[in-house]
Amino acid sequence: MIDYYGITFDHLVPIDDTNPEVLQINVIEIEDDEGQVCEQV
Amino acid sequence: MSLTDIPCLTNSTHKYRIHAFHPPPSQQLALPLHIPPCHQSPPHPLHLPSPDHPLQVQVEGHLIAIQKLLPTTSWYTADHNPMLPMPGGPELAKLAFQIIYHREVQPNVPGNTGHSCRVYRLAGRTQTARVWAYLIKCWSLRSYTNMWSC
Repeated sequence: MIDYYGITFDHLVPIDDTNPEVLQINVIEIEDDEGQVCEQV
Repeated sequence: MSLTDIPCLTNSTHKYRIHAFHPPPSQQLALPLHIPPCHQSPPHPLHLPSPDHPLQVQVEGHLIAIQKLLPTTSWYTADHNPMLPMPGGPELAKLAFQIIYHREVQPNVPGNTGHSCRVYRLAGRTQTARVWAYLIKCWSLRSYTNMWSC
């Protein structure tokens, strides 16, 4: 099932830089603000 | 091992393997995109990065979760075969930029060619997932300059 979506954008990366440093942000849902997992992230 | 294909629940002409879940717009309030502070001491230099640090930023997740960040944007496609980039792609990129750099994206800034956006989807969760990507210059949907698959 296709249910993932993502985007990538460059910030101040030179056009000829083919291997820039990457900041990966994985969007996750936290249903319970008081839960144990919430405290860990 | 190959799984037996099954019909799509919402359109019998579709197959499970090509079915895509793309939620429609909702009236829910947008949830904030929260990036927690770094737990390392001292903090990792890219968490969060300085404004002048050249960086490629990738943001991805379940459509169900992403839609809650941008609930008014439609992720729905009638035929489960979305035209990429989806309308919310650049919006998600703008949102991430705002959260990271605490300012709005400024499109078409002379000399600022670093802003680009690739929007893609992952077909399946297996290692053979195919990735379609489009490169968008300066947050504009007008200039697709690159498309690749792997």
